[in-house]
Amino acid sequence: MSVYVTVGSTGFEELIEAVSSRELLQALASRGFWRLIVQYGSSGEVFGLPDTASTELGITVEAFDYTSRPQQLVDQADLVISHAGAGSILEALHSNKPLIVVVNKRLMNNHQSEIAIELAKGGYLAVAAPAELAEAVSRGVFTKLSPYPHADPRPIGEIIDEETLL
Amino acid sequence: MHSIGFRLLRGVDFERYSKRLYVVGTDDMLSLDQIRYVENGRDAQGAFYVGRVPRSRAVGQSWITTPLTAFECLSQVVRVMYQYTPDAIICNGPGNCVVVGLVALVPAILGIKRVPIVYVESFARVHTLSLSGKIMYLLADRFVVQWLSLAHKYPRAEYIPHLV
Repeated sequence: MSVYVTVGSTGFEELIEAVSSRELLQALASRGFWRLIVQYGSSGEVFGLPDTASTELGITVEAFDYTSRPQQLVDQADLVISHAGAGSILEALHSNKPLIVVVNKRLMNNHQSEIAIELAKGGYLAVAAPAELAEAVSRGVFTKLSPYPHADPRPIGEIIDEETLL
Repeated sequence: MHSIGFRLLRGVDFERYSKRLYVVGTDDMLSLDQIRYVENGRDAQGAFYVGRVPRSRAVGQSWITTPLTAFECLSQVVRVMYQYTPDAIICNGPGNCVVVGLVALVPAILGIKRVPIVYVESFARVHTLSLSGKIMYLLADRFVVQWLSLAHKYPRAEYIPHLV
């Protein structure tokens, strides 16, 4: 099983630091993951796995700054760990992938985190602070999520039609 | 439009709206990719045009120089709107859509034709409207929000979830 971590078009140091920890690798290994793919954006400087940890735990790691095929990486993953960007969230939900969104507690009142928090209330994804990520993974917060409804933009077409027929 | 906003266009009948005009910021390369994706992915019914306009205000730009850049944006929006005379407008957030909304009022005021404006607030706005949203709430013929908490605060808003 593989896990895809993405920070989107900018960077997210706290998330990449959390992903670089032995605790997270242990949590992933305990849940049967053996492949970790990390898109670290501009946070490459803080990415670094503890020596030998990944070989000890039998996890292969791939990491890069940006990708031109984010949807494909999501489709190939069994779990997505993402920043709170709307684009990354929708990619994972529409691919029916279990999703943990890591929100920055300092930016909790920032409207960027609001979508993640609202969607977590609906049970579509799990939310964790960077420091809670490893524990959230080992508890398996991603195992009991609800499928997200398919997108249906047709009402917008209907509204335009109604308005132009007036 | 935000990149997620382009998904809204999948709900629009391109046979009925056989000409599409996209008003895109001169610094917005991402939207050009999205337009190509939206238009080429659907057997290209009819024709589409891209009107490039400068930003009305850059993020963090001083408020003193804002009238100048806003005027430059306004004159470019007037140019493309006069050239292509749209029958309806759909917008989804960025500051330029306020300029487009204002220009679209002109033909109605002059008694030439009514150009309906459909504003769809960004999926990312859960509890508060964007600045564009607050202004467009006053200008738009139809105002759509994607989260219930906004519909409670703005009675004229239509709540439609799962559009994107």
